Amino acid sequence: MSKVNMNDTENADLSRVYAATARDEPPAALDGEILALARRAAENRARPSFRHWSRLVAIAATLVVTASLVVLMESEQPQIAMLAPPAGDAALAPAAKAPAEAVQPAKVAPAQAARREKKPASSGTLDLPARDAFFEPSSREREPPASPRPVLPDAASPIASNNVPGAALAERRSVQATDNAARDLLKTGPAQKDESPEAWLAHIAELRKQGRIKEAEESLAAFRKRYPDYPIPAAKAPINK
Amino acid sequence: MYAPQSASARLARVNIGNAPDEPSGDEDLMQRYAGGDAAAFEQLYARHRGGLYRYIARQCGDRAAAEELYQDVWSRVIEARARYRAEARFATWLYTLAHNRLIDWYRKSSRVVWVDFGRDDNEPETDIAAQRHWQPEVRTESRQIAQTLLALLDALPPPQREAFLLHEEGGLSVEEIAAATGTRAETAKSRLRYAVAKLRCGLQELI
Repeated sequence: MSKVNMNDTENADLSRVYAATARDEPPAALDGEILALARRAAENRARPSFRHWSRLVAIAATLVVTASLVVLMESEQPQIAMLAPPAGDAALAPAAKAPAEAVQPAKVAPAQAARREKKPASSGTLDLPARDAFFEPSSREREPPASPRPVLPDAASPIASNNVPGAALAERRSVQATDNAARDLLKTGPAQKDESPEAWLAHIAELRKQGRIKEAEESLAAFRKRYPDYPIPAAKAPINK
Repeated sequence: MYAPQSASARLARVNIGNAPDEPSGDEDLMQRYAGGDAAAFEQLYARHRGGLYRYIARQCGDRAAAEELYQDVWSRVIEARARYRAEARFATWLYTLAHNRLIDWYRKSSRVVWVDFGRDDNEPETDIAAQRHWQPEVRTESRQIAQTLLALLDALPPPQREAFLLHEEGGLSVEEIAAATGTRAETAKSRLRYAVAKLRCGLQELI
């Protein structure tokens, strides 16, 4: 402490005189308010506040939601990869195995339900029970698969006009080709689902007579799928067998 | 050495808290309070309540305003408990808060012009030398002397009165007064000397 250049005795006397003056003090009520405020502050420090807890809960909720999303996305990823149509012949091969489904244009939704129940071997890549559990079928999925038909690039198609990389463009063209082929089949084939087996067989016979052998073959294959136990007359059996 | 009673020693008489047998330092008490010990604050408050209140009351001259300022200063102490660092004496920090709060109040109320701090430094040194022969006869101290001293105190320029009150009530050294008021040590020392000289002069006339 710095010294003041004065006589200590004199200073002590002045301090004593000052100390003898009225000792004003704060009112007791003011003391009480301040001490109560201090106690509340100390308690708040010792006990975490609502704001503290709400922050913790918010952080925990964020973590849970984030983790759930990550897990969900990881489980979805393989199915999404399977849903993406592969390029080339390999992509068309499974679709070619399911002509029976391709020739049922009128009632798509019931056919979809039946497919879920039956789970036929030719369901290809689109019949994934796990995916069905999560999603409604997309419009592309609802469309029947197509036969392996050579696909020519459609100049008028928006896909062709898009500036996309080669692989992606080929992939899109493959999908487009599948859709077009299915559409063609629907045009040529009868509404077998609504027809009797006899009428269907008669239609196949008519196709043969007209020389549309390939279409007759495909229709017959579809018929066998739908009616596996129905006896087929020898005349209607496949020509190449 | 000009050594008034320390704030802690004097305020022991104004014991409203549960003073321990071994008194802790103010800084220790404040840190304990920052850790959630409310009893530590009560001890700290008991030590400084009177001195701080008188410092504020005599500087602002308005009882209602003094009570408001006094409560505000302690509220700031409570709010700042987590940020408190024992880098200086607690009393210095406490009276710095009070000084700043008083300055704000002066500016808002426009009661006192606080700017002419340099003038008291230029007062003639002979005034102090002339007072050195004063010998207060404290044996005959009376209520009248006390009242006169308070009147003389009120008549001091605010910076000199503040230096005297910080020294007497807060127990601050010259350096601590300088720190609390934001001035140089020489300035604080000069203010204190002039304040003491004027008070002694006034009391000598009375005696």
